[in-house]
Amino acid sequence: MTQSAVPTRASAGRVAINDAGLFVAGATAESPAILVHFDDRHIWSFTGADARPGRGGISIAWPAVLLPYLDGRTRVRLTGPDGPDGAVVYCDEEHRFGSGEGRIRFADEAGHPYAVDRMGHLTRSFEATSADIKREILEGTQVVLRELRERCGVEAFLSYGALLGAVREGGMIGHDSDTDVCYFSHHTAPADIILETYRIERELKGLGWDVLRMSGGDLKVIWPLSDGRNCHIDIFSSFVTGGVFYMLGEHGGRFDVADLLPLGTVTLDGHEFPAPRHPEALLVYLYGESWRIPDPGFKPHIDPVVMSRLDGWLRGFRYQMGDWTALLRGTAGPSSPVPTAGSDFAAWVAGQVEPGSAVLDLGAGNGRDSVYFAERGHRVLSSDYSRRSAVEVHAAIRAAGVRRVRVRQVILNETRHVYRLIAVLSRRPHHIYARQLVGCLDEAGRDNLFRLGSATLRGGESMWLEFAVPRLGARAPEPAPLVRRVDPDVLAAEIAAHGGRVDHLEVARGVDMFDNPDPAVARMRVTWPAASPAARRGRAEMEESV
Amino acid sequence: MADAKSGMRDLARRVRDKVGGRDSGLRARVERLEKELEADRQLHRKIAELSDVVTELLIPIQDRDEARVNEVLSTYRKSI
Repeated sequence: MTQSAVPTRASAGRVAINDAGLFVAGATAESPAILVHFDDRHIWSFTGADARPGRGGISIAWPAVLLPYLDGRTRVRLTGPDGPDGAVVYCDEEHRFGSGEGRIRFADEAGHPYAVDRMGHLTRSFEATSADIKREILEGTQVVLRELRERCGVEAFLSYGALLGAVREGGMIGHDSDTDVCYFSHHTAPADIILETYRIERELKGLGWDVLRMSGGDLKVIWPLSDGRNCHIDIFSSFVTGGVFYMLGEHGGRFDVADLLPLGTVTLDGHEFPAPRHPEALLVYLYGESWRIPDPGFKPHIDPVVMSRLDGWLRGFRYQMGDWTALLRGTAGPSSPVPTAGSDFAAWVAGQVEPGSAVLDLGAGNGRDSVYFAERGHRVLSSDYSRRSAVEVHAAIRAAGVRRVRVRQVILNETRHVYRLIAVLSRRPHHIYARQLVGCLDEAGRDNLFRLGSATLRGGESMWLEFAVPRLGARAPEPAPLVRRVDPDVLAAEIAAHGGRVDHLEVARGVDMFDNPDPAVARMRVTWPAASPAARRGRAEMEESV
Repeated sequence: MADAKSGMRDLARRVRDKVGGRDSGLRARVERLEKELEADRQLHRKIAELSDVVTELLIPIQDRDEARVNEVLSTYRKSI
């Protein structure tokens, strides 16, 4: 694809298109949704507010997830939303992107068409979904609601786009891509609301379901479909605290719970679902008074005060997880764009630890060093906060034919994960190895890392850290901006606060996560004093009793 | 006259410094309060996580051996 800038002008009433973006003459910052179709298939929508105002129109870049597919020909049609006189058509013309000759195919490997959702993610819209699969999604949503009600004992109902579609159109909205359900929690303290989600998560996982925790107040069920794909059914909590009605993900404001409970029903594409007692009232709360007018590019007003409350109470352990997922995909195989052989740091550490000792590889990424240690006879526990890492590490293990590697997700910002790991490692001591991890952690994550070391490294094992350190004029280490430079003095103080000691520190030229040269890289060995004989005896007894 | 002008300028400078200083003091105080509020909010998740660890991990682990449970409870009581 040729490098080009987003166009900033076009003839009156025209749309200028190139490989970087488009310019829509006549549109303004106030323009409502503009729908983009390739060969009559909806792929994306944006509003004037998303774009950059220019002379006589607005310009906007193609979404990043679409760029890799822009190589070939397609008929580009831009329209406004349907109005009483039909939709405004901004353009409807054949266009060639890049140097490709074939038709553009914006679809997955199996040919299922993609769309770009309002968050800029790849998704599949209902418009491009067959009737059979739609039915599976609806039936799956009914099952989730039933289990929430009967097994988990919460008042659950259809919400967001699915509720809007049911009330306004009686069916799924074409540009929507998933179904959302919600439940009302009678708790008012955020800590109790979080505990309730832990219970719900356990109940649903007990059914064998794949459930992801998105925050302290919402979960995601990965629901398998018969064509091999998955759909995502989000479960959001809602609650009242301080007189404000909150609904995850981002809403908070005035709403009378008497309009919610007792629940009623709505019908969506012939399927009945529990719904708010007065669904119109909830739709006003979610979408404003104009909810009856279709707006595919709708973006909710996010109140910064509400967001900071919800972030503070419920979030903080999935920071940048989506970026790491995208980065790690496809990094284990021979065509990996990043190194797969063991790192120099792993070799340096392997030369200093006892043969056959157990190693916890924290922040394992694509598993290059987990495999390296396993190949040298170490028992390895390979951990990362990204679920994608587990997929890549399993692939790397298979490719290398190594054994003795266990793979477990560990989210250092989830204290539950850390205490569970403490319970495991205090019985089975491991060295803790973390290459280029501390530069990815916030203060709370580092606090838990050193808490883990303090609780488990009392029998002579060490924590081994490699990280980029500040150096005047040095560029950000890759992958920027996911990794930051860390001051070794700050780290040493944090370690000391947890009773640990820096036994070895060297700063020299080295490499970043992807083996690019870096002018200042620290290698650190950290130890904790051995446990007292009494504590060791207690631990041994504990080991026997459990 | 020159003295009066100079006096006025001096007064204006002192007022400006005082008001400006108070503004920056208030700003720093608000920033500090915001940080403290954020830290307080984050305690909710920590409380929930620790409650979960205790009820779902610690108690079930210990429940397997009643004598040991009693010992741990006794030791804990003495330690607080």
